[in-house]
Amino acid sequence: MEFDCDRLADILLDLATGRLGSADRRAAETHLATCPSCAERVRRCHDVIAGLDAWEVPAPPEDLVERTLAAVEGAGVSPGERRRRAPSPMGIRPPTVARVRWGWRTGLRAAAAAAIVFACALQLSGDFVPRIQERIEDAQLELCAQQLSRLGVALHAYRRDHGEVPASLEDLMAALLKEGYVTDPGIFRCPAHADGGEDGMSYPPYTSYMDLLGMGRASGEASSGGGRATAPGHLGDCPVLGDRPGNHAGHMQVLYLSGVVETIELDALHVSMAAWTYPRTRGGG
Amino acid sequence: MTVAEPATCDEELLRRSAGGDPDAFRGLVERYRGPLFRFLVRCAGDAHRAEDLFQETFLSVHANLLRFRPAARFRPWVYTIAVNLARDEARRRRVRPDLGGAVSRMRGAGSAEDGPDLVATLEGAEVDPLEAMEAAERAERVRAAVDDLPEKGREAVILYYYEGLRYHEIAEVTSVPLGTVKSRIHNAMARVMETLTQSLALRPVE
Repeated sequence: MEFDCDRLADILLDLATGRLGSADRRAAETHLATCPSCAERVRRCHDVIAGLDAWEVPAPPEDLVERTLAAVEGAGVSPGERRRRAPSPMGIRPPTVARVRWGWRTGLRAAAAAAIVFACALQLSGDFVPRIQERIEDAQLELCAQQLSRLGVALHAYRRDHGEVPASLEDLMAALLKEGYVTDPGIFRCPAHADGGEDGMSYPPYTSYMDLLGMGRASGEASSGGGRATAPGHLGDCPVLGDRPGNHAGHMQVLYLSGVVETIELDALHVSMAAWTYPRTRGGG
Repeated sequence: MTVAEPATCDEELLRRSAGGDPDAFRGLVERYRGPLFRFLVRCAGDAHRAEDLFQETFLSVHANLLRFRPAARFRPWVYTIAVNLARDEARRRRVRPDLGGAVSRMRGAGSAEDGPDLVATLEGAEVDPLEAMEAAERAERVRAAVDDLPEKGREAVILYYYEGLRYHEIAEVTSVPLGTVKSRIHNAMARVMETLTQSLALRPVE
């Protein structure tokens, strides 16, 4: 097969990587011997290949296989089974139901087992149940922080693209969903407070952020309680979105313009203050 | 625990996995640990994201074991899943850029893996130091040029060059005709070469 420059341009990479068949390679080499331009192209292609060869990436972590197999195990999905529900966030598999033949001996054994379990539960409930509860609350705080981050990024992207943000909270939520900045309406609701309040939004924007966007305090429905904003000392310290007081028991999370999500421990005396004074330090100070 | 013998083909391991053999599935994951992870790092640009994508890929493989057609080949199939997951992840990242720089949380922030030290990779080689520096600079420019490629062109180049897939396999993975694959790779390489020419102030090839 005869090669012209166009043909050689088509098979350049195959030639440079040695994937060309022998007949095509000989024909290409014959052409290269008489065409300095194509010879230069091949040389530069080799430079690119040298660059590709030098592109080193990190080796996979040693435990990647184990973690992957653990994730598969934890998902609890049998081969071929479609996922009808998302895996439990705590990685707990749902119980399987077994069919049992009931007779009096089975009933006696079941009653004895139940009595033992009940006695153990009474013994352990002193610290076991609170520990489980604590883990649930930690998981909710973690999920809440992730939602705040994602909402903050969506809000920022919306403002960047549109130059402004809708004045009402309802319009803001609708716009973010409609235009694909967020895809799941559940993101507006704190996992610890499922209904999100009357407006379905657990994370109202702070007045200080809305002021920053030039919206002023006229948009009272978009403010967190409508209180006076504390002017941030540094732009990154401006609170953007935050939990409604009471979303979490004893905690409140705030997303700042810097991107940091801060968890603030609150006691009962400070809960009502937090929504108004934008605490930036632990303890509501 | 028995690890599958290297001679056992992917499709046989897959068949055994579908039959409930955990060692066979482990064998598949181990076999693709290196190549698939490296592919995902190059696509996603970040080792942490690549780890997540790797796990998601095999979660999907496991959930769809029984749907794998007997006559199909596993390698293009697993790369198809990985490519689709990487694209979905890239789309999510485009909609949600970092707020005020790197988004971090007080409970621990992930950070992007630093790029390789290209000069360090040449340490110990008996080359002229100036040549080594020029080679390192050229390599870095090539990498940057590949990073700048359109997503589908970059994917095609990575699948072709690093994963050694053939054109028809790349067509299967990316669900486009064979001609489209060839033109994507051709255009991507032309673009990288042009970028390299300009950045190194080389005379254009006439």
